[in-house]
Amino acid sequence: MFIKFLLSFLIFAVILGGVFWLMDYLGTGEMSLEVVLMFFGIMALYVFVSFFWFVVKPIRSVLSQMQLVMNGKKFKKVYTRRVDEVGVLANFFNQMTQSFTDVADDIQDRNRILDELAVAAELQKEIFPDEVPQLDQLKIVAKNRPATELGGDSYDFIEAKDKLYMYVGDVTGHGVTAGLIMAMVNAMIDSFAATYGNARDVIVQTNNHIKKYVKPSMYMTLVMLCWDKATNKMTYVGAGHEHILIYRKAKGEIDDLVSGGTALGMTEDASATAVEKEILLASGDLVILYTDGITEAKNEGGELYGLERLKNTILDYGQAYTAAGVSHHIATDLSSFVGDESQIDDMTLIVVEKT
Amino acid sequence: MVQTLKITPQNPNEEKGYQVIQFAGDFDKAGHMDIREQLDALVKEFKLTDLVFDFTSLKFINSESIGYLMEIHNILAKKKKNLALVKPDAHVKEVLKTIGISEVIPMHSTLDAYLNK
Repeated sequence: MFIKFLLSFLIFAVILGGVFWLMDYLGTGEMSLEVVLMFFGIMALYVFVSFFWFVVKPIRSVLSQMQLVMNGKKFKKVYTRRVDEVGVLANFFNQMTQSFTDVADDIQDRNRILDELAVAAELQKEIFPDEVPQLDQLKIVAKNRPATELGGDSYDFIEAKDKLYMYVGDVTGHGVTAGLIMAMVNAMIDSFAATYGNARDVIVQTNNHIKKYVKPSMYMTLVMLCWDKATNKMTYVGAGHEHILIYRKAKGEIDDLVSGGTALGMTEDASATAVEKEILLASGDLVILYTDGITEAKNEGGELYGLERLKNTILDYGQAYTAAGVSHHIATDLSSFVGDESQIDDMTLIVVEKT
Repeated sequence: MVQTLKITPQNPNEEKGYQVIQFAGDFDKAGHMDIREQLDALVKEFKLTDLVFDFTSLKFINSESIGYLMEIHNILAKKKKNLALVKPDAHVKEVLKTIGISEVIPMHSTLDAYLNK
Protein backbone atom coordinates (compact mmCIF):
# COMPACT_ATOMS: atom_id res chain seq x y z
CA MET A 1 0.00 0.00 0.00
CA PHE A 2 2.73 2.48 0.98
CA ILE A 3 4.89 1.50 -2.01
CA LYS A 4 1.94 2.16 -4.32
CA PHE A 5 1.30 5.45 -2.59
CA LEU A 6 5.03 6.45 -2.79
CA LEU A 7 5.33 5.47 -6.46
CA SER A 8 2.23 7.43 -7.47
CA PHE A 9 3.55 10.35 -5.41
CA LEU A 10 6.93 10.29 -7.19
CA ILE A 11 5.38 9.97 -10.66
CA PHE A 12 2.95 12.79 -9.90
CA ALA A 13 5.80 14.97 -8.49
CA VAL A 14 7.99 14.38 -11.57
CA ILE A 15 5.14 15.15 -14.01
CA LEU A 16 3.97 18.22 -12.08
CA GLY A 17 7.57 19.45 -11.60
CA GLY A 18 8.22 19.00 -15.32
CA VAL A 19 5.06 20.94 -16.28
CA PHE A 20 5.94 23.85 -13.95
CA TRP A 21 9.59 23.91 -15.11
CA LEU A 22 8.51 23.97 -18.75
CA MET A 23 5.89 26.70 -18.16
CA ASP A 24 8.35 28.83 -16.19
CA TYR A 25 11.32 28.16 -18.47
CA LEU A 26 9.30 29.10 -21.55
CA GLY A 27 8.09 32.31 -19.80
CA THR A 28 11.11 33.80 -17.95
CA GLY A 29 13.95 31.34 -18.33
CA GLU A 30 14.14 30.68 -14.55
CA MET A 31 11.90 29.35 -11.73
CA SER A 32 10.10 32.06 -9.71
CA LEU A 33 9.31 31.70 -5.95
CA GLU A 34 5.55 31.71 -6.64
CA VAL A 35 5.89 28.76 -8.99
CA VAL A 36 7.95 26.80 -6.46
CA LEU A 37 5.40 27.53 -3.68
CA MET A 38 2.50 26.57 -5.97
CA PHE A 39 4.32 23.34 -6.83
CA PHE A 40 4.76 22.40 -3.17
CA GLY A 41 1.15 23.45 -2.40
CA ILE A 42 -0.29 21.19 -5.09
CA MET A 43 2.03 18.37 -3.97
CA ALA A 44 0.89 18.76 -0.33
CA LEU A 45 -2.75 18.65 -1.46
CA TYR A 46 -2.01 15.55 -3.51
CA VAL A 47 -0.30 13.88 -0.55
CA PHE A 48 -3.28 14.62 1.68
CA VAL A 49 -5.92 13.42 -0.84
CA SER A 50 -4.07 10.28 -1.89
CA PHE A 51 -3.16 9.37 1.73
CA PHE A 52 -6.81 9.70 2.65
CA TRP A 53 -7.91 7.69 -0.41
CA PHE A 54 -5.33 4.90 -0.24
CA VAL A 55 -4.77 4.57 3.53
CA VAL A 56 -7.29 6.29 5.79
CA LYS A 57 -10.53 5.40 3.99
CA PRO A 58 -10.00 1.62 3.66
CA ILE A 59 -8.63 1.30 7.22
CA ARG A 60 -11.53 3.37 8.52
CA SER A 61 -14.05 1.07 6.80
CA VAL A 62 -12.49 -1.98 8.54
CA LEU A 63 -12.21 -0.15 11.88
CA SER A 64 -15.84 0.98 11.75
CA GLN A 65 -16.93 -2.69 11.33
CA MET A 66 -14.59 -3.71 14.17
CA GLN A 67 -16.17 -1.08 16.37
CA LEU A 68 -19.63 -2.52 15.58
CA VAL A 69 -18.37 -6.00 16.57
CA MET A 70 -16.91 -4.68 19.83
CA ASN A 71 -20.17 -2.91 20.66
CA GLY A 72 -22.12 -6.07 19.93
CA LYS A 73 -23.91 -4.49 16.99
CA LYS A 74 -24.71 -5.91 13.60
CA PHE A 75 -21.67 -5.83 11.32
CA LYS A 76 -20.91 -6.53 7.66
CA LYS A 77 -18.11 -8.29 5.87
CA VAL A 78 -15.49 -5.97 4.40
CA TYR A 79 -15.23 -6.66 0.68
CA THR A 80 -11.94 -5.75 -1.01
CA ARG A 81 -9.79 -7.05 -3.84
CA ARG A 82 -6.69 -5.51 -2.41
CA VAL A 83 -3.79 -7.80 -1.60
CA ASP A 84 -1.79 -5.25 0.41
CA GLU A 85 -1.89 -4.56 4.17
CA VAL A 86 -5.46 -3.28 4.00
CA GLY A 87 -6.52 -6.44 2.15
CA VAL A 88 -4.81 -8.57 4.82
CA LEU A 89 -6.53 -6.57 7.57
CA ALA A 90 -9.95 -6.89 5.88
CA ASN A 91 -9.42 -10.63 5.33
CA PHE A 92 -8.36 -11.10 8.96
CA PHE A 93 -11.46 -9.21 10.08
CA ASN A 94 -13.73 -11.35 7.87
CA GLN A 95 -12.21 -14.63 9.10
CA MET A 96 -12.30 -13.56 12.73
CA THR A 97 -15.94 -12.49 12.55
CA GLN A 98 -16.84 -15.71 10.69
CA SER A 99 -15.32 -17.65 13.63
CA PHE A 100 -17.42 -15.53 16.00
CA THR A 101 -20.52 -16.38 13.99
CA ASP A 102 -19.64 -20.11 14.02
CA VAL A 103 -19.06 -20.08 17.80
CA ALA A 104 -22.31 -18.20 18.36
CA ASP A 105 -24.15 -20.79 16.22
CA ASP A 106 -22.48 -23.62 18.19
CA ILE A 107 -23.53 -22.02 21.46
CA GLN A 108 -27.09 -21.64 20.17
CA ASP A 109 -27.12 -25.31 19.06
CA ARG A 110 -25.64 -26.41 22.38
CA ASN A 111 -28.23 -24.43 24.31
CA ARG A 112 -31.01 -25.89 22.17
CA ILE A 113 -29.70 -29.45 22.75
CA LEU A 114 -29.40 -28.80 26.50
CA ASP A 115 -32.96 -27.48 26.56
CA GLU A 116 -34.18 -30.56 24.71
CA LEU A 117 -32.23 -32.86 27.05
CA ALA A 118 -33.77 -31.08 30.03
CA VAL A 119 -37.24 -31.68 28.58
CA ALA A 120 -36.37 -35.35 27.90
CA ALA A 121 -35.00 -35.72 31.45
CA GLU A 122 -38.27 -34.31 32.80
CA LEU A 123 -40.23 -36.76 30.65
CA GLN A 124 -38.03 -39.60 31.89
CA LYS A 125 -38.75 -38.63 35.49
CA GLU A 126 -42.43 -38.97 34.64
CA ILE A 127 -41.76 -42.58 33.68
CA PHE A 128 -40.37 -43.39 37.12
CA PRO A 129 -43.12 -44.22 39.60
CA ASP A 130 -44.42 -41.29 41.67
CA GLU A 131 -44.96 -43.54 44.62
CA VAL A 132 -43.65 -46.88 45.72
CA PRO A 133 -46.54 -49.28 46.44
CA GLN A 134 -46.80 -50.49 50.02
CA LEU A 135 -48.56 -53.76 50.70
CA ASP A 136 -49.40 -55.34 54.03
CA GLN A 137 -46.77 -58.00 53.41
CA LEU A 138 -44.11 -55.89 51.72
CA LYS A 139 -42.35 -52.63 52.51
CA ILE A 140 -40.49 -51.24 49.51
CA VAL A 141 -37.91 -48.47 49.15
CA ALA A 142 -36.47 -47.32 45.80
CA LYS A 143 -33.66 -44.91 44.97
CA ASN A 144 -32.34 -43.80 41.57
CA ARG A 145 -29.56 -41.41 40.60
CA PRO A 146 -28.85 -40.87 36.89
CA ALA A 147 -25.26 -40.03 35.91
CA THR A 148 -26.36 -37.66 33.13
CA GLU A 149 -29.57 -35.82 32.25
CA LEU A 150 -30.88 -38.98 30.64
CA GLY A 151 -30.10 -42.20 32.45
CA GLY A 152 -30.17 -45.78 31.24
CA ASP A 153 -31.34 -47.20 34.55
CA SER A 154 -34.97 -47.95 34.99
CA TYR A 155 -37.29 -49.30 37.65
CA ASP A 156 -41.01 -49.57 38.07
CA PHE A 157 -43.81 -51.19 40.03
CA ILE A 158 -46.80 -52.50 38.11
CA GLU A 159 -49.89 -53.96 39.70
CA ALA A 160 -51.87 -56.26 37.41
CA LYS A 161 -54.08 -59.29 37.90
CA ASP A 162 -53.49 -59.71 41.64
CA LYS A 163 -49.76 -59.42 41.17
CA LEU A 164 -47.19 -56.75 41.85
CA TYR A 165 -44.30 -56.71 39.37
CA MET A 166 -41.14 -54.89 40.45
CA TYR A 167 -38.14 -54.53 38.21
CA VAL A 168 -34.75 -52.90 37.95
CA GLY A 169 -33.16 -52.51 34.51
CA ASP A 170 -30.00 -51.07 33.08
CA VAL A 171 -29.59 -50.14 29.40
CA THR A 172 -26.05 -50.20 27.98
CA GLY A 173 -24.55 -46.76 28.51
CA HIS A 174 -26.66 -43.69 29.19
CA GLY A 175 -27.81 -40.64 27.31
CA VAL A 176 -30.51 -40.20 24.68
CA THR A 177 -30.39 -43.70 23.14
CA ALA A 178 -30.35 -45.42 26.52
CA GLY A 179 -33.21 -43.18 27.69
CA LEU A 180 -35.31 -44.07 24.64
CA ILE A 181 -34.75 -47.82 25.06
CA MET A 182 -35.53 -47.53 28.75
CA ALA A 183 -38.81 -45.74 27.94
CA MET A 184 -39.68 -48.33 25.29
CA VAL A 185 -39.04 -51.28 27.65
CA ASN A 186 -41.00 -49.56 30.40
CA ALA A 187 -44.04 -49.17 28.13
CA MET A 188 -43.79 -52.78 26.92
CA ILE A 189 -43.52 -54.24 30.42
CA ASP A 190 -46.49 -52.17 31.54
CA SER A 191 -48.51 -53.44 28.63
CA PHE A 192 -47.41 -57.11 28.83
CA ALA A 193 -47.95 -57.26 32.60
CA ALA A 194 -51.59 -56.39 31.98
CA THR A 195 -51.84 -59.03 29.25
CA TYR A 196 -49.83 -61.97 30.58
CA GLY A 197 -50.19 -63.55 34.00
CA ASN A 198 -46.56 -64.22 34.92
CA ALA A 199 -43.17 -62.53 34.97
CA ARG A 200 -41.53 -64.99 32.57
CA ASP A 201 -43.95 -64.26 29.74
CA VAL A 202 -43.59 -60.53 30.34
CA ILE A 203 -39.79 -60.80 30.00
CA VAL A 204 -39.90 -63.10 26.96
CA GLN A 205 -42.38 -60.89 25.11
CA THR A 206 -40.46 -57.73 25.98
CA ASN A 207 -37.21 -59.27 24.71
CA ASN A 208 -38.73 -60.53 21.49
CA HIS A 209 -40.22 -57.12 20.71
CA ILE A 210 -37.26 -55.02 21.79
CA LYS A 211 -34.86 -57.05 19.65
CA LYS A 212 -36.59 -55.68 16.54
CA TYR A 213 -35.86 -52.09 17.47
CA VAL A 214 -32.42 -51.91 19.03
CA LYS A 215 -29.03 -52.14 17.34
CA PRO A 216 -26.80 -55.12 18.23
CA SER A 217 -24.54 -53.14 20.57
CA MET A 218 -27.48 -52.04 22.72
CA TYR A 219 -29.19 -54.24 25.28
CA MET A 220 -30.84 -53.98 28.66
CA THR A 221 -30.18 -56.15 31.66
CA LEU A 222 -33.16 -56.53 33.94
CA VAL A 223 -34.40 -58.48 36.91
CA MET A 224 -38.07 -58.69 37.80
CA LEU A 225 -39.70 -59.72 41.04
CA CYS A 226 -43.33 -60.79 41.05
CA TRP A 227 -45.35 -60.79 44.25
CA ASP A 228 -48.52 -62.84 44.04
CA LYS A 229 -51.02 -61.20 46.40
CA ALA A 230 -53.29 -64.22 46.30
CA THR A 231 -50.66 -66.76 47.39
CA ASN A 232 -48.17 -64.42 49.14
CA LYS A 233 -45.34 -65.90 47.09
CA MET A 234 -42.47 -64.13 45.43
CA THR A 235 -40.88 -65.22 42.17
CA TYR A 236 -38.16 -63.70 40.02
CA VAL A 237 -37.01 -63.76 36.41
CA GLY A 238 -33.61 -62.50 35.31
CA ALA A 239 -32.51 -61.06 32.00
CA GLY A 240 -28.74 -60.96 32.38
CA HIS A 241 -28.87 -58.61 35.36
CA GLU A 242 -26.80 -58.32 38.53
CA HIS A 243 -27.28 -60.72 41.41
CA ILE A 244 -30.30 -60.66 43.68
CA LEU A 245 -29.24 -60.32 47.31
CA ILE A 246 -31.49 -61.77 50.00
CA TYR A 247 -30.77 -60.90 53.59
CA ARG A 248 -32.04 -63.68 55.87
CA LYS A 249 -32.84 -61.91 59.10
CA ALA A 250 -33.19 -65.07 61.23
CA LYS A 251 -29.66 -66.20 60.35
CA GLY A 252 -28.06 -62.82 59.70
CA GLU A 253 -26.80 -64.13 56.35
CA ILE A 254 -27.02 -63.17 52.70
CA ASP A 255 -28.14 -65.46 49.90
CA ASP A 256 -26.60 -64.36 46.63
CA LEU A 257 -28.78 -65.44 43.70
CA VAL A 258 -27.58 -65.24 40.12
CA SER A 259 -30.50 -63.62 38.30
CA GLY A 260 -29.85 -65.72 35.16
CA GLY A 261 -31.26 -65.34 31.68
CA THR A 262 -29.94 -63.24 28.82
CA ALA A 263 -30.00 -59.45 28.56
CA LEU A 264 -33.01 -58.04 26.69
CA GLY A 265 -32.21 -57.44 23.02
CA MET A 266 -29.32 -59.90 22.96
CA THR A 267 -31.15 -62.88 21.49
CA GLU A 268 -34.03 -63.19 19.03
CA ASP A 269 -36.03 -65.34 21.42
CA ALA A 270 -35.60 -65.39 25.19
CA SER A 271 -37.98 -68.23 25.84
CA ALA A 272 -35.12 -70.74 26.21
CA THR A 273 -33.22 -68.71 28.80
CA ALA A 274 -35.93 -66.92 30.81
CA VAL A 275 -36.84 -68.99 33.85
CA GLU A 276 -39.17 -67.98 36.68
CA LYS A 277 -38.08 -69.21 40.11
CA GLU A 278 -39.52 -68.80 43.58
CA ILE A 279 -37.85 -66.96 46.46
CA LEU A 280 -38.91 -68.21 49.87
CA LEU A 281 -39.15 -65.31 52.30
CA ALA A 282 -39.58 -65.20 56.04
CA SER A 283 -40.68 -62.17 58.04
CA GLY A 284 -37.94 -59.51 58.20
CA ASP A 285 -36.06 -60.84 55.16
CA LEU A 286 -34.85 -58.25 52.68
CA VAL A 287 -34.57 -58.58 48.90
CA ILE A 288 -32.10 -56.14 47.37
CA LEU A 289 -32.00 -55.26 43.67
CA TYR A 290 -29.37 -52.91 42.29
CA THR A 291 -27.64 -51.82 39.09
CA ASP A 292 -23.93 -52.02 38.33
CA GLY A 293 -23.56 -48.27 38.86
CA ILE A 294 -23.42 -49.19 42.56
CA THR A 295 -20.99 -52.10 42.46
CA GLU A 296 -18.81 -50.42 39.81
CA ALA A 297 -18.70 -47.02 41.54
CA LYS A 298 -15.05 -46.04 41.97
CA ASN A 299 -13.26 -44.09 44.67
CA GLU A 300 -10.37 -41.68 44.15
CA GLY A 301 -7.91 -44.58 44.01
CA GLY A 302 -9.88 -46.28 41.22
CA GLU A 303 -11.07 -49.05 43.56
CA LEU A 304 -14.55 -50.49 42.88
CA TYR A 305 -17.25 -50.43 45.56
CA GLY A 306 -17.92 -54.03 44.58
CA LEU A 307 -20.40 -56.71 45.46
CA GLU A 308 -18.59 -57.78 48.64
CA ARG A 309 -18.66 -54.27 50.11
CA LEU A 310 -22.38 -54.02 49.27
CA LYS A 311 -23.03 -57.34 50.99
CA ASN A 312 -21.03 -56.28 54.06
CA THR A 313 -23.06 -53.08 54.37
CA ILE A 314 -26.27 -55.09 54.23
CA LEU A 315 -24.91 -57.48 56.86
CA ASP A 316 -23.90 -54.53 59.07
CA TYR A 317 -27.34 -52.92 59.06
CA GLY A 318 -29.78 -55.70 58.08
CA GLN A 319 -30.40 -56.92 61.61
CA ALA A 320 -31.25 -53.58 63.20
CA TYR A 321 -32.91 -51.70 60.37
CA THR A 322 -35.95 -51.89 58.12
CA ALA A 323 -35.87 -51.59 54.31
CA ALA A 324 -35.71 -47.80 54.56
CA GLY A 325 -32.82 -47.92 57.06
CA VAL A 326 -30.78 -50.44 55.06
CA SER A 327 -31.36 -48.47 51.85
CA HIS A 328 -30.24 -45.27 53.62
CA HIS A 329 -27.07 -46.92 55.00
CA ILE A 330 -26.14 -48.43 51.63
CA ALA A 331 -26.47 -44.97 50.04
CA THR A 332 -24.45 -43.34 52.86
CA ASP A 333 -21.71 -45.97 52.78
CA LEU A 334 -21.45 -45.74 48.99
CA SER A 335 -21.34 -41.96 49.12
CA SER A 336 -18.58 -41.96 51.73
CA PHE A 337 -16.63 -44.59 49.71
CA VAL A 338 -16.65 -42.64 46.43
CA GLY A 339 -16.04 -39.28 48.12
CA ASP A 340 -15.68 -36.48 45.58
CA GLU A 341 -14.98 -38.82 42.68
CA SER A 342 -17.56 -38.16 39.94
CA GLN A 343 -19.63 -41.18 38.94
CA ILE A 344 -20.01 -42.22 35.33
CA ASP A 345 -22.93 -44.62 35.61
CA ASP A 346 -26.52 -44.43 36.81
CA MET A 347 -27.35 -46.02 40.15
CA THR A 348 -30.58 -47.69 41.20
CA LEU A 349 -31.37 -49.51 44.41
CA ILE A 350 -34.55 -51.25 45.51
CA VAL A 351 -34.94 -52.84 48.93
CA VAL A 352 -38.01 -54.98 49.59
CA GLU A 353 -38.80 -56.15 53.11
CA LYS A 354 -41.13 -59.01 53.92
CA THR A 355 -43.09 -57.90 56.98
CA MET B 1 -1.46 -40.74 28.06
CA VAL B 2 -1.43 -44.24 29.55
CA GLN B 3 -3.31 -46.79 27.48
CA THR B 4 -6.00 -48.61 29.48
CA LEU B 5 -6.36 -51.49 27.07
CA LYS B 6 -4.04 -53.00 24.48
CA ILE B 7 -4.75 -55.59 21.83
CA THR B 8 -2.09 -57.75 20.24
CA PRO B 9 -3.07 -59.62 17.10
CA GLN B 10 -1.27 -62.95 16.78
CA ASN B 11 -0.19 -64.41 13.46
CA PRO B 12 -3.21 -65.80 11.61
CA ASN B 13 -3.41 -69.58 11.37
CA GLU B 14 -4.35 -69.87 7.70
CA GLU B 15 -4.47 -73.66 7.80
CA LYS B 16 -7.03 -73.85 10.60
CA GLY B 17 -8.72 -70.59 9.60
CA TYR B 18 -8.45 -68.62 12.83
CA GLN B 19 -6.65 -65.65 14.32
CA VAL B 20 -6.19 -64.87 18.00
CA ILE B 21 -6.22 -61.33 19.37
CA GLN B 22 -4.91 -60.91 22.88
CA PHE B 23 -6.49 -58.32 25.17
CA ALA B 24 -4.60 -56.80 28.11
CA GLY B 25 -5.95 -54.20 30.54
CA ASP B 26 -9.38 -52.80 31.33
CA PHE B 27 -12.15 -52.92 28.73
CA ASP B 28 -14.00 -49.88 30.03
CA LYS B 29 -14.97 -46.67 28.22
CA ALA B 30 -11.36 -45.46 28.03
CA GLY B 31 -10.12 -48.91 26.98
CA HIS B 32 -12.79 -49.08 24.31
CA MET B 33 -11.58 -45.75 22.89
CA ASP B 34 -7.99 -47.03 22.98
CA ILE B 35 -8.61 -50.04 20.77
CA ARG B 36 -11.75 -49.28 18.77
CA GLU B 37 -10.05 -47.96 15.65
CA GLN B 38 -7.49 -50.79 15.53
CA LEU B 39 -10.04 -53.52 16.24
CA ASP B 40 -12.60 -52.14 13.78
CA ALA B 41 -9.93 -52.26 11.06
CA LEU B 42 -8.97 -55.82 12.00
CA VAL B 43 -12.59 -56.98 11.93
CA LYS B 44 -13.20 -55.24 8.61
CA GLU B 45 -10.18 -56.88 7.02
CA PHE B 46 -10.70 -60.28 8.64
CA LYS B 47 -10.69 -62.97 5.94
CA LEU B 48 -10.50 -66.24 7.94
CA THR B 49 -13.37 -68.11 9.62
CA ASP B 50 -12.84 -67.73 13.37
CA LEU B 51 -11.78 -64.60 15.23
CA VAL B 52 -10.75 -65.51 18.76
CA PHE B 53 -10.42 -62.94 21.55
CA ASP B 54 -7.99 -64.13 24.21
CA PHE B 55 -9.02 -62.53 27.52
CA THR B 56 -6.21 -64.02 29.65
CA SER B 57 -4.88 -60.58 30.61
CA LEU B 58 -8.19 -58.74 30.57
CA LYS B 59 -8.93 -57.52 34.08
CA PHE B 60 -12.25 -55.70 33.69
CA ILE B 61 -15.09 -55.42 31.20
CA ASN B 62 -18.12 -53.11 31.41
CA SER B 63 -21.55 -53.33 29.83
CA GLU B 64 -20.80 -50.93 26.97
CA SER B 65 -17.79 -53.01 25.97
CA ILE B 66 -19.95 -56.12 26.00
CA GLY B 67 -22.26 -54.24 23.64
CA TYR B 68 -19.26 -53.65 21.40
CA LEU B 69 -18.49 -57.39 21.43
CA MET B 70 -22.09 -57.98 20.35
CA GLU B 71 -21.59 -55.50 17.52
CA ILE B 72 -18.46 -57.34 16.33
CA HIS B 73 -20.25 -60.67 16.63
CA ASN B 74 -23.04 -59.36 14.39
CA ILE B 75 -20.65 -57.93 11.80
CA LEU B 76 -18.84 -61.28 11.57
CA ALA B 77 -22.05 -63.31 11.59
CA LYS B 78 -23.30 -61.36 8.56
CA LYS B 79 -20.13 -62.47 6.75
CA LYS B 80 -20.64 -66.08 7.94
CA LYS B 81 -17.68 -65.81 10.30
CA ASN B 82 -17.46 -66.55 14.02
CA LEU B 83 -16.34 -64.71 17.12
CA ALA B 84 -15.21 -66.65 20.18
CA LEU B 85 -14.00 -65.61 23.63
CA VAL B 86 -11.36 -67.70 25.39
CA LYS B 87 -9.56 -67.77 28.73
CA PRO B 88 -11.48 -65.07 30.62
CA ASP B 89 -10.34 -64.64 34.23
CA ALA B 90 -12.84 -65.35 37.01
CA HIS B 91 -14.17 -61.78 37.27
CA VAL B 92 -14.57 -61.22 33.53
CA LYS B 93 -16.12 -64.67 33.13
CA GLU B 94 -18.62 -63.90 35.90
CA VAL B 95 -19.65 -60.61 34.21
CA LEU B 96 -19.99 -62.24 30.78
CA LYS B 97 -22.00 -65.14 32.17
CA THR B 98 -24.24 -62.85 34.22
CA ILE B 99 -25.26 -60.85 31.18
CA GLY B 100 -25.80 -64.07 29.25
CA ILE B 101 -23.48 -63.28 26.36
CA SER B 102 -22.30 -66.90 26.34
CA GLU B 103 -25.73 -67.75 24.90
CA VAL B 104 -24.75 -65.75 21.83
CA ILE B 105 -20.93 -65.79 21.63
CA PRO B 106 -19.16 -69.05 22.50
CA MET B 107 -16.89 -68.78 25.53
CA HIS B 108 -14.22 -71.38 26.36
CA SER B 109 -11.60 -71.81 29.05
CA THR B 110 -8.82 -72.57 26.53
CA LEU B 111 -8.13 -72.00 22.85
CA ASP B 112 -7.90 -75.76 22.27
CA ALA B 113 -11.32 -76.25 23.85
CA TYR B 114 -12.75 -73.83 21.30
CA LEU B 115 -10.85 -75.27 18.34
CA ASN B 116 -11.85 -78.83 19.28
CA LYS B 117 -15.49 -77.93 19.89
